[in-house]
Amino acid sequence: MSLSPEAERLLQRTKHLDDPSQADRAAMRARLSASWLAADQSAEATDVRRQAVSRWTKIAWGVLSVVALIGAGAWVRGQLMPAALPPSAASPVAPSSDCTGDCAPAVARAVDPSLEPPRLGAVHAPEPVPAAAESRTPSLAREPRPVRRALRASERSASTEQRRATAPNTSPALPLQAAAAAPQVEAAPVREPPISTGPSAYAKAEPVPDEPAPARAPAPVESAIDDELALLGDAQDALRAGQPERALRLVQSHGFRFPNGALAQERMTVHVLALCALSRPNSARQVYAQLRRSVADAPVLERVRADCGF
Amino acid sequence: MISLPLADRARESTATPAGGAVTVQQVYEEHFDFVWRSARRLGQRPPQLEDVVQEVFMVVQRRLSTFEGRSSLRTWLYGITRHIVRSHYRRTRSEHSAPPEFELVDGRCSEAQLSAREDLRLLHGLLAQLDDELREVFVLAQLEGMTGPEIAEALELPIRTVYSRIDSAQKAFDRALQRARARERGGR
Repeated sequence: MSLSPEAERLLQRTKHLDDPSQADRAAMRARLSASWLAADQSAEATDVRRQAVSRWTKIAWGVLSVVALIGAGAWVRGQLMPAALPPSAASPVAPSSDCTGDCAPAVARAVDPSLEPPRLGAVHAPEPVPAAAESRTPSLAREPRPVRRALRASERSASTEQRRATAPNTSPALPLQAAAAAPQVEAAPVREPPISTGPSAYAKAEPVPDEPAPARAPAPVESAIDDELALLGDAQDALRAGQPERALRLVQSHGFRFPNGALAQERMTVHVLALCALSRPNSARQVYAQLRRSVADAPVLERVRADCGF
Repeated sequence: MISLPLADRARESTATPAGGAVTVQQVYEEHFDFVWRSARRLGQRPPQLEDVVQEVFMVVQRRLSTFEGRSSLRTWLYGITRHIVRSHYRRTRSEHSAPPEFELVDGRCSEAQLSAREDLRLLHGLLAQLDDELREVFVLAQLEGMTGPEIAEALELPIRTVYSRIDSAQKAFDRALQRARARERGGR
């Protein structure tokens, strides 16, 4: 079954009557150009933030590794002393699968030099990080040499976590929280090194593997950018349509909702132009001064100056 | 005319997707009309129409790097347009009718232009009488010339459903056209 000839003719005649006009095309091109540019700039800003977080994460892990080394040394010295540390302080997190699940016997065994070699072997393996963590409690206590090996395993797993942390993590959280949050990929390493002093207490202090912010961060950023773009697009349209009062209201709304938004620079640009259009040169100059502080792009500033007659 | 400093800088922005050579600007140049028409025929009128189209191309910019293969670019774009219309503009969706701008009477219009206006008004009046799902396949098949498989991909429907709906839509459209012609002959 097909259409009647009359219907076919009607469709042929009207096929392109819903097309955009030249004016529609030009207006949309301008609108999209600004929006695409703003989106690119915000993507760059996000990348910069991501790199900053990554840098902080690396620094934090470096700090943690150093503290872990110092703490491990202190713990070992404590273990080798006749008056051993109390069992609870020796391993705040019980390595469940390796020993019997009770920390005290593990500590007692740890000072026994006849501990089986496989534990030492487990410490060496880089992949099974939980195993490394769990077997470290007995291994660390044995002798200086196993201690060093265990510490190297600790550094290795720390750097593994650092790699994992920097790859997917996009949260602009505090560096320490970011470092502590990263191991949510692998819960066990957060508890290591299982040493009584500094590092473990330090690690425990952070509200760690439940930190959801890194995984969720991209989504809210995306929709906020959409809202920012919509608002600023409307402000630009209002300016273009000769409605500077409306543009100013929209700019102020944007500034209120997104004071630290990615498009603050674009907002300030439209803000200056709106104020100029409203013949408010003093206010325009004030906002322009703010814009100049945040914009390195001379052509943008020149255009604003030209349009405003500064 | 206030010139906006942001507008002409954007030409340098390429937004090149990671995987291919197509840029959002190229997609725009080639398919802007299609997206506009599609949004228009999904019931959008200015100013929502421009908002929808802009949003479509913002999505394109974000997701172009995940798109593979140019053959179904149109279906991909239609899917995006449809999704945006449905999810954001459900409440403000207007009825299918002739666009308001065509209501303006301009004495300089030629006969051809006036006739075109009438045709377009008639077309939208007929489309408005179709059920939404029939209208959608009808527009893509009859006005955009999409194939059955393309429509199935764009609307995420089984191919059999597409053909069945096209058949039903054609019948309904013809019936509506006959009624409209009968009214013209009898009523006026």
